[in-house]
Amino acid sequence: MSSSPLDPVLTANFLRGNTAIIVLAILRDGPAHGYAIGSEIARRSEHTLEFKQGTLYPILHELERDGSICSEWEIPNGDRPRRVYTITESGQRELERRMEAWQRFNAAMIRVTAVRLDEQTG
Amino acid sequence: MNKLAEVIHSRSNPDLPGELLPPDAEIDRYLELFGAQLLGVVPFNQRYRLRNEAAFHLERLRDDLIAEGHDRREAVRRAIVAYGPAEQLAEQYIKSWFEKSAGGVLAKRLGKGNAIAFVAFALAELICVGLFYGRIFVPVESVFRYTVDPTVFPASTLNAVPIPDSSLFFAVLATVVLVAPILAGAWVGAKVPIHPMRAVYHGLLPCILYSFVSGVLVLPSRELLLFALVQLVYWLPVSLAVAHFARLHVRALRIGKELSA
Repeated sequence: MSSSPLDPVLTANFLRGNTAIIVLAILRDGPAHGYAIGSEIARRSEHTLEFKQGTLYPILHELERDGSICSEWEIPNGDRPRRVYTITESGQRELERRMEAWQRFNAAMIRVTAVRLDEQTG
Repeated sequence: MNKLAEVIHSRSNPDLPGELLPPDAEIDRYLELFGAQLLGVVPFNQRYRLRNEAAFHLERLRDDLIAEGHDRREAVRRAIVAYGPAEQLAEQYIKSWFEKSAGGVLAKRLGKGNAIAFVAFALAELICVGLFYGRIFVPVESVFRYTVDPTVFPASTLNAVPIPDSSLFFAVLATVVLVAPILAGAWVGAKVPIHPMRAVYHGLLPCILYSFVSGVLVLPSRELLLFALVQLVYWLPVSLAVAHFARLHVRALRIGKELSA
């Protein structure tokens, strides 16, 4: 099943600052190259989160500089070399920290917007 | 599209009509355009890695789209659209690469480019304001009250100093005021590979504001108010232009160095 993509501007605004969580969450399940990460985001979000896939690489390189992930070349027989990313222990901790903050933020947003909905319908 | 991008675009579109080129030529063109934006800014090993990652990603996207039933040419076109515009992605990468290498607190708080510009112009401001203070305070023998804090100026004791005068001191002061934005702008252009003009604007504006506030506080001496005006009408445009050309020049030098290595 696939949902329709969100408005691209809204998606970009929502994703700003949160793409790192998404990438770390994908890598928590195992090493992957950039293309696999992009495909997995599309699959898990049921194509709701659509963004230019090239924007993943600045984020991956940033996370690597921060020490949250590491990477190495994988050279399959006769195929183009690809860079495979793996989450580090510090990345795991960073993901947990960000997830906790995100869950609290998300819960607060739901509470706040639910009150507004009640006011409008009540 | 900038000049470099236009050259790459024209060279990678030979006389053959587009439909006669192999479909994958569009991927090569895209990669050349992407690499050209990074040339002279990002080190070779980073460029190599990014180019390979982009090539692998585009080829996989293309293959998946072909498997979905698109013809090869259409699959390549869609893959490039899904990956994103080369210039925009290169700019985003340079920004992330440059800004995230920031070390100090100031650079992390303001952004590395803005911090570099602020340091350059604050230094120029300090030198110029120091010279102006000397010119204002020495004649009234209150030079020992010199301070960079504009709120403690003994403004009521000051008299207006003639502008210009024929002293050596004034000549030095005028030279410093004229040369400072050129040097500061060149430094920012050489050090900031992305949006150096924006960094100049952000770095210089607080200095202009400081000169203006200081100028009001040392009235009736008009020196610093005039200096604030000079900063607005001379420093700002000159340093913006110098930063822009310095960035292009430094990039061209790096490209030349890399080609000759």
